[in-house]
Amino acid sequence: MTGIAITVEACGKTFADGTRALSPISFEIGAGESIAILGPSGCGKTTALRIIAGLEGPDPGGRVLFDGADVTPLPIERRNVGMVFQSYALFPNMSVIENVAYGLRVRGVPRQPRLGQAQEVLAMMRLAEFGGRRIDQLSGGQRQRVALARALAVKPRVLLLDEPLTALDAALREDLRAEIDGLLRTLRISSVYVTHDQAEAMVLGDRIIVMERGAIAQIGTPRDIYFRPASRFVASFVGTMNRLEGAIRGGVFETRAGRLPVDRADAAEAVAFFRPEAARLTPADGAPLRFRVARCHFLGAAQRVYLDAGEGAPALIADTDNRRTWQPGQETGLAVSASDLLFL
Amino acid sequence: MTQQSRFAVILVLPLAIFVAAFFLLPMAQLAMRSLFSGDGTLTYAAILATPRYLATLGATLGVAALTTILTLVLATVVALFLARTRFPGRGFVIALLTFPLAFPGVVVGFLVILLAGRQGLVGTVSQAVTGEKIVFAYSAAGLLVGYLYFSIPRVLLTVMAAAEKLDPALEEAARSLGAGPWRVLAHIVLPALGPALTASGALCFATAMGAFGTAFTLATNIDVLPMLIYTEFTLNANVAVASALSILLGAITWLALTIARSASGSGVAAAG
Repeated sequence: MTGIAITVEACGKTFADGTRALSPISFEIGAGESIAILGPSGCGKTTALRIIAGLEGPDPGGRVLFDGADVTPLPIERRNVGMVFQSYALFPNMSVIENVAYGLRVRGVPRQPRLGQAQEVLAMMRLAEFGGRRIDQLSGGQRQRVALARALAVKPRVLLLDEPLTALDAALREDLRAEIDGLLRTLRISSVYVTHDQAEAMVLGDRIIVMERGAIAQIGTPRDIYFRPASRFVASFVGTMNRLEGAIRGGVFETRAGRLPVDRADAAEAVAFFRPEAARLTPADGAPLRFRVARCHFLGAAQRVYLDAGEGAPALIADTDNRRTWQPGQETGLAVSASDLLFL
Repeated sequence: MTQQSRFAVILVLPLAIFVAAFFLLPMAQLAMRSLFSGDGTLTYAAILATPRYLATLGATLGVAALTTILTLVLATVVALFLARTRFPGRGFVIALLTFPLAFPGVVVGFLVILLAGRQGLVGTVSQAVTGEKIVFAYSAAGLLVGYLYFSIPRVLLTVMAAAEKLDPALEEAARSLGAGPWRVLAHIVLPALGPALTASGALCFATAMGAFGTAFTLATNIDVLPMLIYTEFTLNANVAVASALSILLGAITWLALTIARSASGSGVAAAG
């Protein structure tokens, strides 16, 4: 099973009632690449997936290409895509193996060979002994694995997953996430994975497309997105981000809490962002920035210290080692390397 | 007897009395009449041996079966359309389609006469166009139209409710696997609507079997079972045959309703 390259060209979507779900967006998916589309609900990520699938047509001018061939006018049943839904969408009137074999049945594969092939895919998903079961005899995790098996049984050109883990509980979600990751790496199939869960996007996406209000906010590897967010939205949507307001004068970032040297042009108003793990707590004396501890959450492996950033400003968060104890009201210094500061 | 079960008995008692007085006793008497007045058990044999009775039974079964099939086809098409299409005036269309529920059988029969009777709309138009007056209100076709008229709304509402509960992702999944619209309908949608179709179809069949008001208004050129029972009882005073036919009609209808109940998992009843 080898993947194909997919090109999405200026695909927008305006629904009949005039609401615009998607501004024209363009991006490419390499052969065998797994792409995660990440965004809050209503950001257009599912619409983008449905346009690739062929369940929705793009507004005039938009095109979808599979390996360079224009598939825009083709309905989903002629695109040979595998699709996995949040609601599993397993056929309740068919047994597990009949579900998995359904795509082959539609393609006219005779009964014996198609059941044989379906059994192989079931075995790959560690469901070999479940073939004869009814759908309502399976757990949620098993159902989604059957849905994956069903989508893969037809050897699709691309695997499209629409929030497949959202209906599952947390522990199961993590197991199945790892399983899907293994599957995508083994099969080297092109895939598009829509999710609102950044951890899923980071684990499963070779690259992540972050979407906001019907437009692409950033495309990049998980590291790009995390370390070099292109906008304040991406910075705050992916991971936890601290925000520090001030002004830059003569290479110094001046804030209410103190001064930090930075390599940037003067600005009367500047907002710096940094990750909790980039914040180092130091003795208060002689520290560039000084805060009072608001509260401290001991998390076991680490602890998260909240620093009072003054009235009206959200508390700053520093993740530190788990040994020292912190008392509310205690004064502390804060150091952040200039390279960890992002001005957005 | 514990206090609780005694309380339960008190609650059930009124219903038990009602059932015994107004349901079981007349039923028993009906059965007794069919067995012991006239020729006794031979009455049943006589019914099955008399061509007129057999023809009526056949006509009734035929009209009811055809009504059921046509109703299911028409109502399913409309229900699927209405369940998945949103358009201005949709509520009005649904109200219009379920309007016949408001009418008793006699009025439905009257409407069919207005449509296809001797002075009916179809007759007038066909005479103007072809010179030949088409009148079918008083035949099996008229009866069929009348039965369709009050069957479609009931089936439509049931099937529409079932269709709206269908997960759209089921069809999308089937399509993603390569199934075209007809395959999706045959493999996914109709099986999912199966219980609703069986239940409402059986209900429709039972109602058409026993419909009296419409038949009474229309059935001049065709005899159906409820009409036969009526004439045997009132005009011929043939209580034994009327009773036996009633039991027969009841048995067939009861069987259909049993199928409906087991398919839908809840109580249903014939009307009309």
